[in-house]
Amino acid sequence: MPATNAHGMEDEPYTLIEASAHCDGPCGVYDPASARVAGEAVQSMTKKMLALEYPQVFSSESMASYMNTMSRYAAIKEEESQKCKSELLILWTDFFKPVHLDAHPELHTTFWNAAKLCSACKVEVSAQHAQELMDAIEAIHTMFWSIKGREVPWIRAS
Amino acid sequence: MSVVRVRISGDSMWPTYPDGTEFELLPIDSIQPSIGDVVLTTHPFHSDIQIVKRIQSIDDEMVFLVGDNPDPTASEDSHNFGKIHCDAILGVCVPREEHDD
Repeated sequence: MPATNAHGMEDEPYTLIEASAHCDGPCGVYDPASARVAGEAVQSMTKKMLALEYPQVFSSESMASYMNTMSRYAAIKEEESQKCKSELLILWTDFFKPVHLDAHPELHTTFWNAAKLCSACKVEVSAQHAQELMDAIEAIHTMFWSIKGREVPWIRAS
Repeated sequence: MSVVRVRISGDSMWPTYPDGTEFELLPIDSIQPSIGDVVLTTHPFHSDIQIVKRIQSIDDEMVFLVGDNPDPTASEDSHNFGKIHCDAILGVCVPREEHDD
């Protein structure tokens, strides 16, 4: 392979070796989709909790059913919020590297806010915070695939 | 002797050498690797992958290799695969601009 050196002279042919300078040998598999699915579950459970109507007939049976349904929604919201936070932290601490801050200086703030929104969605029943969590995950999705050099559309399962 | 160049992909040598940096490879029979040198070797666990890392220490012919990236998750090196024998070093990598000077 011929080339030109700093003095404009043609170099002698050379052999090129492609060497790896990756984090591991191939890199691990990362995808913000895991956080997105968990975030959607959080939002779905939040909506279901807010929409669940109090039983019109007050009885032990109806109250048991109501509380059981509400408890299940709350339990799933709790679990998926924590799962979402874990998936985000893996991306933040393992996939993203200092070099990525050059192109995405908002990276740390975005993840910090997203993690806090996971916590907020756990302790509250807030449609607003659930939507803000999804917006934050979408921003992370966009950063992630920009770094990977691929155009991957933002899609939702729900 | 034919010229051999090495081009890295990945960020483990960032910020010193970003993704895509090209080096001139000085064959091992022409130079004695020393601490601080950037070297080419074969990944101890993946014989089909050649890697570029920096020599952090040499102890009784065993070499400890590291990446330059300050992020501890950004480089698979001797922290993961242990020390390599000095005979496994294929050459010393010199950045092309330094080599041209």
